[in-house]
Parts: sequence; C-alpha cells; structure tokens
Amino acid sequence: MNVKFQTLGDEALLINFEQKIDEQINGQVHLLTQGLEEKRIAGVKYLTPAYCSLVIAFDKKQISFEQLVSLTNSLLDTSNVSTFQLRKLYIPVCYDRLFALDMQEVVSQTKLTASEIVKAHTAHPFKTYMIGFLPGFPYLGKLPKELECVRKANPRLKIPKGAVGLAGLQTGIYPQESPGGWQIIGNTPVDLVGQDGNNSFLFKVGDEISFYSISKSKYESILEGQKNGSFNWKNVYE
Amino acid sequence: MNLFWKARKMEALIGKTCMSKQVNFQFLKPGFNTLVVDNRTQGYQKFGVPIGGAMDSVAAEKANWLVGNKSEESLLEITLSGPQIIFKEKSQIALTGADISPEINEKKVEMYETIMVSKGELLTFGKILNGCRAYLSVRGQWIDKNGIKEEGSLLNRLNRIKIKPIQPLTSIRKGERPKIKYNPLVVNVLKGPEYDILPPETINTLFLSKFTLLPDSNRMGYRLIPSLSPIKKSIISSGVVPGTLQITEDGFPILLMKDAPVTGGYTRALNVLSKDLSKLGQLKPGDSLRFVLAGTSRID
Repeated sequence: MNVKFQTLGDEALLINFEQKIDEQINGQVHLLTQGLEEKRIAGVKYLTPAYCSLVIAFDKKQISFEQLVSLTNSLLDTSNVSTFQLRKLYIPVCYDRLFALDMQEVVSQTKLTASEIVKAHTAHPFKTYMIGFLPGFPYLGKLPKELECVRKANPRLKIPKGAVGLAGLQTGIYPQESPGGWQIIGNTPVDLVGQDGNNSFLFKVGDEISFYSISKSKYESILEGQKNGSFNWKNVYE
Repeated sequence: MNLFWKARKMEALIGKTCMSKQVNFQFLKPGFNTLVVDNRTQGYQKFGVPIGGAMDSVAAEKANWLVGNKSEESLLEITLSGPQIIFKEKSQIALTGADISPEINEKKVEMYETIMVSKGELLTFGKILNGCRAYLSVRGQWIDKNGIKEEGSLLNRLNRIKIKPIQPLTSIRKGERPKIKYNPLVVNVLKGPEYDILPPETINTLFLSKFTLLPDSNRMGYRLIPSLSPIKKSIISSGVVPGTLQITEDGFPILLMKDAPVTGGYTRALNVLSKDLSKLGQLKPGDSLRFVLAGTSRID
C-alpha cells in the first residue's frame, strides 16, 4: 500500500494515505488503527485516526520512529489483520423548527424544501470517518451532493448540545454546547458521551449511522427516558 | 472546550468529598485558573478528547517527586494568580514552576523542597515573580480516579480535595530550581508535514522573527504575532499534537498546547521538540519566543 511517513515533532509519527475523502481509504486507516491497538505496542501513547491519515504519538524512550514505521509496514502488508467490525446505529433526530436553527439558510443554499432536506438526511446511512474537534464529535459522510452547503460565514457562539449540522459534504452532531460554524438542521435527544453513566462514547470510527425523524413529543420522552433510566439503548443499536 | 469535563469533575469532587471526613484541603479563594492536572495518557484521543495534562510537565513531575508521589499523580496547576488554601490535615506539600510568592500563615515558603504543613495552616500567594504556572503537590493518593479525564477540572471556592494519606516522608527532599526567565524563549522545532508548501517569505519570517503571545493565549493554544502571509491551501482534517505550529488560511500562527483539539485542518508548519514543550508552559501573554530549526526532520 502506498503510504507516506512523516514526523510530527520527535514523539509522533504521521502516516498519510492518499489524501482524499474516500470510504475505502478511510477503511484502511481504521483497519490499521485497529491492528495497532491489538498489538498493544509498549511506548505508544495514543492514536489519532482521521479521514486519510493516522497519527501515532509515542514515548521515544521506549520506541523509535523507525521501529514504528517497520511495525506499521508489516501490518499494512499482511492481510491477516482482523476484519473491521461494522456497527450500525440508529439516531433519532427532531427536525422541528425549534431545533433547525439554520434550516432557512440550508433551504436557500440547496434549493430544496425543508421536508426534502429531512428526507435526504434520513434516506441513507452515513459512515463515521473520524471523531474530533470536541470529545465524541462524529464526522459523518458523505452527504448526497444535493445537501452540500458551506459553513456559516460567522460561526455561532453557542450551538446547543445534540445539534445536528451540515458542512460541505459532511454531517455531524455536537456532543455538548459549543461554538461552531456548521449549519444546524435538527437535534438529537440521545447523549453521545457518558450515556450509560460511565465515560463511554456512543460512536466509534467506522460506525454506520442512520438518522430517523422524530416528533417534538418523542424528543421529550427520549430525553426524559435517559434521565430516569427507562430509555432502551437497544433502540440505538437495532 | 474543556468545560464539559470541568463540570463533570467538579460534581465528582464535591459529591465525594462532602460525604467524607478525610478532606485534606479546601479553597477559600480559587485563584484565576486553578486546575487539577495529571500526566496520565488515557488514550481517549481517538474519541476527540484533548491530551490535557500539566503545561509544564517537568515542573509537575518535580513537584510530585518532592513529596514522594508517583510522577503521574494528580496535582494543582496554578496560573498567574494563586488560590487560598486551608489545610484540614497535617500534610507534606511542594511547590514548583512559576514563583507566585507563596506564603504559609503569612510566612514566605521555599519552592522546590518538601514543606511540612500543620493542620489549619493557610497557603496564600502574592505577586508573580517569574513564569506563568506553579504546581502544588500534596503527598498521598488523590481520590476520584473514575473520571475519564481526572485532570482539567477548574476549581471553585469551597471545593475540597480529598487525598488518601500514605506514610509521610521521613526527610525533606530538595530539587534544583531551573531558570525560568527567558526573553525570548528559544524553541527547537522540526519541520511540520506541510512545511514544504510554505512560501519562502513565510519561512524567513518563521525563523527571523520574535513571536509574541497574544492575550487570548491559553491551554488550548498560543496565538502569536507577527502574522504571516495567507495560505490558500487547507488540508483534510488530520492529527495534531501539542507543539504543532498551525498557520491559518488568513496567515495567523497558532501554537497548539495541551488542551488543543486532536485534529485540525490548518497547515502544520512546525513541531516543537518534546524537550522544549514544558518550557512553553511558563510563557504568558506578552512573552515572546523564537523558533530554531533542529537539524533535519529525522529524529534520534
């Protein structure tokens, strides 16, 4: 496989795959990430997989740049890396005007109606290409071409927790209140972080996410269900 | 950015300590920006969690050593102005990093050595004499290990911290006090992944200018002036690490620090060598630095 190794300082290695947003290339990134994790290499501090690159941060007292390059090459060469586990998740989104803060702007950019936008957003599952920006923030793609829209010229100072947004050919969810420039078209009541009382994250890279539209009252009941523990998390996974 | 973790953490601290009798110390004043930090790497970066940890990790490790704690034990990071802390138990503590004129019961105390504190004594700080961040270690095991990010909690008035006592040290430890007065700080760097796309005038400016920290510099990153020529090219979001110097499309240089997001889409021009990263933690807005290219981009 054709990858390029670069240094990111003296304690991190950058592995660049072909530089484009592509499901297959992203799949290779995640296969390699998983392969490296399974090896539990002493001296590897953390991994940061992205669309078409992977950063390996390491402790140079324990392992060298060259050792990591050769380990990575051997993983890339062998086909016996365990197959990537595909998970499918189903995320309820309320696209009500109350939550769809930028629907008007998206309507004018895409020339679609609000209901066509919702239909296009819920029609096909999206792939989790990477997680970043905020803890648990998933970068999902690719959007169908007709939903493509540019980020807000002036980012909002406050985007509410659970907001579902569009940017370019990507869609994502804000796991917590934050400033941000994505075009907001709805909100999910489902917690992306710490949902089972622990510090777990709902999404993993590689997950396939399908959105479905819910009413305001369903939104409220899911919110309430998570608070009192009656929400059935199985609904998200099947 | 880290408010989420801060909020969670504060709940955890208050919740646990109120139920317990073993409160070791309590804040009468929180100070400007006092945080619980540690040097653990928990590997949550693939979920987008910042690396975190002490900005001056060398000073933090030294503080833990001075009280005989493990190097990854939690401790307090105190920025620019100090808190007021009342000790509820006899403790062994140490202070390292920036000199913020620490006093116990209004008597000056030495930094870089083990300090014995009696029950009821009050630790206060005064004028900042050098650096930006001081570290306060307290001998024992800090409670609240359940948080995903134990560190990063902004402390509040009335917060109490509980520490499981361990056998006190029988003798005082002393450490060498590093010089932390440098203007400008000379920072060794390697070429970043996108160095080769930089125009020659940008490269000249990077290595010939003195860069100064703007007021909105913080644990996420240092915004620097002078600015550079705009860069029309952005990259597909990819990993960054503390010490990465990014240049935005408008030409603004940002030096990423411990609480930076783990990915970014700006040009990665330079990366600071790990040995110089902790020194950067002692810079405050208005301080300046210079970049020096360290040999080739190959590493030892």
